Amino acid sequence: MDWSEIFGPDALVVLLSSSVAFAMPTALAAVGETVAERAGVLNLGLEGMLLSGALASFLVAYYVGSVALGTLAGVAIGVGLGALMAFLSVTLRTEQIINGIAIVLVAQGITAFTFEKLFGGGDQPTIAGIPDVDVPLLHSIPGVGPVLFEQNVLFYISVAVALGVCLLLARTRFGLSVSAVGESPAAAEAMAVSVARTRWLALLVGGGMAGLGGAVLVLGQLNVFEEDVSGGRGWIAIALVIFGRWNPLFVLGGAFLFGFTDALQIRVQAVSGGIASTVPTEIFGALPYAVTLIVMVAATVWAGRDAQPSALGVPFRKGVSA
Amino acid sequence: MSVSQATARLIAPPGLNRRLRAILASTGAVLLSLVVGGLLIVIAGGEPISAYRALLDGALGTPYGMGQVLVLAIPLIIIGLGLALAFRGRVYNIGAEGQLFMGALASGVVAILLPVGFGPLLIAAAVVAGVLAGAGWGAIVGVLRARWGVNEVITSLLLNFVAILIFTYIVRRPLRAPGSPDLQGRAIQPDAALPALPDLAVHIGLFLALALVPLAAYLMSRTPFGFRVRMMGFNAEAGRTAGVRSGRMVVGLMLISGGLAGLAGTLQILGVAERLDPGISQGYGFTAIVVALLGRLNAVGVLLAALFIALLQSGGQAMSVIEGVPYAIVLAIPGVFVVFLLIADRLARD
Amino acid sequence: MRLTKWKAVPICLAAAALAAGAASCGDDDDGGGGGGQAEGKVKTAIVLPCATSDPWCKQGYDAAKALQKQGAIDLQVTTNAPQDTAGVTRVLAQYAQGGTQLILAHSTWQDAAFDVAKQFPDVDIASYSFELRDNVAILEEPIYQAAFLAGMLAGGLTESNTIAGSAGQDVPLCHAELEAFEDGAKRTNKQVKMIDTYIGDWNDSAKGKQATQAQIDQGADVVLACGGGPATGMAQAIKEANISGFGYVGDMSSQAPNNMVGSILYNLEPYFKAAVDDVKNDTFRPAKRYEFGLADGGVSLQLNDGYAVKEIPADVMDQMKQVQEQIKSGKFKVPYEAGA
Repeated sequence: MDWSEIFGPDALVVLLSSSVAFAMPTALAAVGETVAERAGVLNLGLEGMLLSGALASFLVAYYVGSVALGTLAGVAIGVGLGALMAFLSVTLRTEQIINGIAIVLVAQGITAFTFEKLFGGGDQPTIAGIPDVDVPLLHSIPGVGPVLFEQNVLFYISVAVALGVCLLLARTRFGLSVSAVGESPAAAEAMAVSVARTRWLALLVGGGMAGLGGAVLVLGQLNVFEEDVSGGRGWIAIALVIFGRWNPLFVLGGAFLFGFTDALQIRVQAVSGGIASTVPTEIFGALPYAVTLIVMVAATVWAGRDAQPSALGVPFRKGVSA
Repeated sequence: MSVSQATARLIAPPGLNRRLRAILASTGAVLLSLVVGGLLIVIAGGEPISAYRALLDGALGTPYGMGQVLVLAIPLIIIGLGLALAFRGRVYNIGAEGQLFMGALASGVVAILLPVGFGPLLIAAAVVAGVLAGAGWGAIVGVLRARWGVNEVITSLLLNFVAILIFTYIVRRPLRAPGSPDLQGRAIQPDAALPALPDLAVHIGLFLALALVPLAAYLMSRTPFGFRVRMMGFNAEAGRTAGVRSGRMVVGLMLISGGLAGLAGTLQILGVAERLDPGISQGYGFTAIVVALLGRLNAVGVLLAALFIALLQSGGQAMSVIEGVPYAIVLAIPGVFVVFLLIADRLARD
Repeated sequence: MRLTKWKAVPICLAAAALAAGAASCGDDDDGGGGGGQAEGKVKTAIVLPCATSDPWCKQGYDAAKALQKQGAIDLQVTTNAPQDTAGVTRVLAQYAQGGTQLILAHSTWQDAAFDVAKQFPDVDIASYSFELRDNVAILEEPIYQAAFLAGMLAGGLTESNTIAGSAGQDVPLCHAELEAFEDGAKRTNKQVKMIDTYIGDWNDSAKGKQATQAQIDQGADVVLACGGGPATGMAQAIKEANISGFGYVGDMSSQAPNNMVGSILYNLEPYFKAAVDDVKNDTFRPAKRYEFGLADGGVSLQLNDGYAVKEIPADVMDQMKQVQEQIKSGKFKVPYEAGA
């Protein structure tokens, strides 16, 4: 097998460019989840928010014809579900894990049902794709240029949003509140930081980003919607938050690592000739998970300390010490 | 006062006896979820009353139907018990699905290939293989956490995918059912199949599942081990005070919960599918998490929650057929029910 | 925090009350279907594993609906059936219990079908199984025959001498389809090379798109797919790269109007009609294999008028049409290669 067909400079650029694009929805959801979890809320409803954002954006883009409005619709739905999660987990303080799972179930049910109702029995509806736009000057940088700067508009928006949220967490007052609330809510409350409000906002951000991820998946890449189009990205995103040790930049990196290995295994199959290969295809399928696992273990062993927010998953009650 | 406190006062005025408040809250939750579920059904084009009747009728109206509910409940009970124990010790095993499949694989291979003619011996060998495989798969997660502090949520989650891929490969190549156009594994030897209860269409694994409930209850509340698990789950300080060797405990809990998941997978192979079938589980390992939480991490609670969820799912499938409501909506209803029950639980506690 | 009996009480009471009510009404749905002889319409149910927008499920749905329109059946439909065997069994059993005469289980649900067939001996089931039971028939899926013809065209169309196929998993159905595609291409073009990719998921069209793109990067310019996810992803990929492809199981030309050479059609009407007629005439049992291949109109290669990537060479088209006639008349049998 000719490895230069995968790792030679030209091939590598193609591989990186496509894997970065495909990883974007997961990356967005993962960074959003980082915000929520840093604030102390374990939002397992991510898959449902991503899926709902995908459907909403598809429907608006299909019927109205506007990708921009479709994207906004996706974000709006994500924010709405984030609000639902906040209401259940922060205001009513019920079991976060179950709330999240319930949101996923309801979202899966309603999206599948709606799509079937609108398009059942007919041909698969598709929308026109959006073109790639080269960023002037930047895209000529050898190596990095074609990978990052010859993508479509939604990709650029996603990168901006993801980096923006990283900045939000690291440098703003809100970001500090988030960390405080997730680490030690009682202390935060004593310093006049409203735990409830911070967590609500964190969930709105998290939900919105997941919804954006769904919009990017459908409008920026697939140009179709099908039932369960999210394909487990929400769950991977949650795992990536842990992988990235709750640091949004590492989370982003993890998302791309995972996306890269996933694209890699498909490409290796194509290069190695498929049927003739004696290596079972399942080994290729297992590659992204195995790599993520190994890197995770190596990183933890090397870094040592536990990075999990202390108050993660625990509902906060005013006036009672943790 | 907070929203929840206000609502609590509305439903159950504080003057009332605490127990009465709990009853009122739970009843309110059940009613409210029936209403919301009904709304979902109406949206889907059905008629709520007849739909609910179809749900209960489908689930409980015939002996065959009741058997189906029990078949669905068995893995939920077994895995749920293991997870309840693990979660008590704050060992969040999200890998039960993968452990189930590893157990299914090992027991299936034994049941297919082991040249033992005596039924009970073959079954016993398969069960041992299945439990060990599930426990071993779980132990990987436990050791990684105990030895190097690697977060068990992500390791167990990722290992799910790996386990399912291994299972898929075995079914696809070495042990594929001859002549099958798709992913179907070979059948187990007839002697290895678990006998079924007459009339009820459920295998005798039911008794095993039911027997595990009091066993688990005893383990959790009346043994030093159970006490130490609880202490460890409370916080690290309490654990140390109680003399818990936390590393050992983590591995132990993963062995137990993994082994139980493996057992569930074994019963699915020997009692339900009677072949290596990728369809033996669709997220049972994850549903069991909901079961464990809904059952408040205690044994009897897990039993009730498992039966409840199995009833909703089985009846829901029947309802989708009778009422013409798409199954997708039916999936959502257990989720809604569970959320409202938890809300009621929370309100009653305030 | 214990689930005290005081909380459990209302739940149990409610459940008990409703169950008692249900049990008394249980008599309405007594088991046992209508059995063999039926005047007029056959009470039929079709159970689909996906949504009707998926090409596989759409074919089944369309065929059943056609029969309904002809007045041959009373039809009930379930889409998005549960993915686990126990769940599917439940759905099939519910239909059997409700008096359905014929259940069309549109997926490889052998265990569920056998379980229900045993429990409800009056019902007839047709499924994609590989073993027969007295009341469970086998539906065959010989799409590889049309894939051979598609391959012949591909051999003539490819300029890079590289063609490719993607599938959900390496199961005999898809293996045979991809092999037949390759064999057909080699018939018209000795130098052609084939790339196969198994994406590991039947529904993930993102992966399907990636797989086709990887194949395109390797030089493939004519592709086909096996499975809803791979096929939908492939359609998007060929549209963007402006290369040629073939649709899977249903007419997929609307998804890539200029790039679909044609679609490999799997027409279930003859299958379902045969089963329905058998039930009506009480000739269903002992159950048989239903196979309608290229020769019988069950499988075909439908060309797309809108295809515009390049001109199909006339001699290749003639060759293909010739072989098509040979298959139809029985002179030529497409080799079925299911893989190890």
